[in-house]
Amino acid sequence: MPSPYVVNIIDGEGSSRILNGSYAVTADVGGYDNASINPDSQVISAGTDTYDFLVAATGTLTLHVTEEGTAGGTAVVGATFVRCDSAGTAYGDPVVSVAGGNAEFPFVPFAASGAPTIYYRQTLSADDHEFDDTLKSLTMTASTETVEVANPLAALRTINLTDANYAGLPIETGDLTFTAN
Amino acid sequence: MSDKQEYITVRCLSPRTKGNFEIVVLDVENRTVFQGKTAWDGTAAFHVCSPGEHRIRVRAKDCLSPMAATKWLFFYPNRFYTVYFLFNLFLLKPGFTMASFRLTDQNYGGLPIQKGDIQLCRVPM
Repeated sequence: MPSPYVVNIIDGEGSSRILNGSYAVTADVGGYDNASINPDSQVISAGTDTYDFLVAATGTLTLHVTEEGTAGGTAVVGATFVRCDSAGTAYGDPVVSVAGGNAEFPFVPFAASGAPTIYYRQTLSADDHEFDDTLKSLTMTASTETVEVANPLAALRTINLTDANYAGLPIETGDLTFTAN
Repeated sequence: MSDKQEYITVRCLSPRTKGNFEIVVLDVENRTVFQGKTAWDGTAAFHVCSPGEHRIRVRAKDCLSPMAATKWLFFYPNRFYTVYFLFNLFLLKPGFTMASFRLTDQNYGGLPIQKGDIQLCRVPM
């Protein structure tokens, strides 16, 4: 195949048989800033078979965390999210909701069409709030988007403590400690 | 006597039309008496106060061979010197390489790009 060589990338990898030499490198990646390809020049030489490149995006995904999951809901501070791949493997630094309930993923890809899927997962919330830790995904068609996330207050639960040898006899006073595992 | 006679001119010649080179000049006692870069045309002119033997080291920044070169010069005062350094392009072994390319997100270390293309256009060396 003569120059220019076009290397198709799937899930971060591609390969091609390339004549040794010096090349200018450009990218065509949906949702990303193609001018950000780094490095933008590469010497292909015998003995080196793997070449690494980086590309950056410029969108911002805001996760607005409230107890109700609505724009006007009660903000939850301390909800933590991390970006993932489709298999759920985490990458980059986690983002945490601040006052107002917003956690922002910067530098995420977007495009009017053909944007890649963004995967993320919630890993923590405020102490007394519940959250969904399953892998979530979306595609962004604009540079900024906001997703409403519900982290409701943990339900009020009734705990009964009775004597093991006198069925139903309530324990007058005492404490039970529940530790997450 | 003009000031020009007290200057050393270093000219770095390479097939590249543009590119600067780093220069260090050391005296006989290994003290640095000049440190700088050439202009984009590979030329630098500078004054060296002390007479006697000097080493002129030049280092190429791009893919040139050799990567660095040294010349010795006995410098007499009130003389004008021009020292040439020749560089060639880094020689590549001809042939094909079965190359693998990894493309990841610059801001999320290791996050693989789901799909896209990288184009490589050959540039003359």
